[in-house]
Amino acid sequence: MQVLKDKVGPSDSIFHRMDPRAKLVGFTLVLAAMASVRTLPAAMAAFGLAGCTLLGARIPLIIPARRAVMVVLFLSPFFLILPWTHPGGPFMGVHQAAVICLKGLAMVLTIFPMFATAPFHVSIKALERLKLSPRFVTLTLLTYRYLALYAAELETVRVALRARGFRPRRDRRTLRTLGYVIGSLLVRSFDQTERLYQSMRNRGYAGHFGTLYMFRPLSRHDWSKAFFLTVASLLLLVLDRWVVGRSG
Amino acid sequence: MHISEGVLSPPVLIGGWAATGLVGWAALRTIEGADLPKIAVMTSAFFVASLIHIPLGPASVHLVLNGLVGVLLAAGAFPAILLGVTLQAILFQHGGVTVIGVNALLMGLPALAASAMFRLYKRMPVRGGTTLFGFLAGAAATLLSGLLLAILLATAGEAFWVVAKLGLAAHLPVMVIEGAVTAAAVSFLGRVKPELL
Repeated sequence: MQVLKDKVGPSDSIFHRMDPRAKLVGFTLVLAAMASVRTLPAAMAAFGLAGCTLLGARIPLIIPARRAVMVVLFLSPFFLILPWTHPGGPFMGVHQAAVICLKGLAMVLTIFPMFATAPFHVSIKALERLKLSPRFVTLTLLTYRYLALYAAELETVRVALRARGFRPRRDRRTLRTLGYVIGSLLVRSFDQTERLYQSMRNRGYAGHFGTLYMFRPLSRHDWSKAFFLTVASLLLLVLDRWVVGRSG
Repeated sequence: MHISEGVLSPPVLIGGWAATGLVGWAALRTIEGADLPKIAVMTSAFFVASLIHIPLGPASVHLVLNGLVGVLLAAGAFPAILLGVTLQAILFQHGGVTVIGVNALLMGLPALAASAMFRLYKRMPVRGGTTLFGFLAGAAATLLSGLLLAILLATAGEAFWVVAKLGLAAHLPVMVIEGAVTAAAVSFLGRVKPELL
């Protein structure tokens, strides 16, 4: 079972120290700029920018590298299909596939400095400060809390199935068994909801989750880091338009 | 069946976010505070269930179960799926952050359709129809997701039309799998805990 991790690597870097609200806004701008890139040089620059922020966050590179391999595998079919289907010919097809792949990689890698440099609940509370619906925040925090529990429960059921000689096959029986497993997981989870709500009420829940994290006013450092991210996004857009303009 | 980063154009991504925000906001308004734990706990169970892989041909697919989410959570299915997509993007870097909007629509709207279908059956129940309608809800949700995926990919340009068709074709076998698993889960719940349906 995959381990749920919201923090990887050392817990100190320029992005760990950055205010989560400023960080989320800054990286949202970066992601938006990366998503609008259409040219290869700008896509390469986006990839470079993602790499720089990743190094800045001091995240051990093996984890993002593993994700990057998955992204490339997922996007690789474009290299096989687009050269044949692109109206501008095979060269343009390869070009577009490369742009997609670099952009996709850059945006996936940017998630690490954006979200893996603060505990999950702090990022979510920061989103609440940025006007995300409090109900959605409650939903998110509760779901997150129960993920590990059900992951462990599913693992127990898997062991039980294996002990009884179950092997997943390409047949109806497999599908029916898995349907029952999911059904029983849902029954167990449903049984917990009533108690969960009562215990929340007992501890004073009235529509808001508290957190021990203190949001302080943005410091000069937060502003300058957010400024850096904004400028980087703008430069990316300018580079993209400049390349488009030059190629006519 | 998600769209990854890098493929869609900014207008489509922004449109996806806007539509998801609107549907999500409307759905959240219909939910009572006391229902939040139920939706949250079910969302985590569904999220974990989606880690199950099923052999298909030479490869394997993971379950999405958006039909089942719709059957069990009705309007709450949309925020549940939005949340599932968000957690996948943030915790596992599956899909991506800018595509959260379109991906939530891609799986969430079919879930709402499945919910409507199953409610229709509950209004005029037929003997033994639970399994059948469970299958239909699961299969229809997958088919609709495949259609939405194809439409979204087609917006990326003429070069993507083949990709869109291939994507839709890939959904046909998955449709049968999702239908069968949803049918089994629904018939199980119908016998063990009918109040959930």
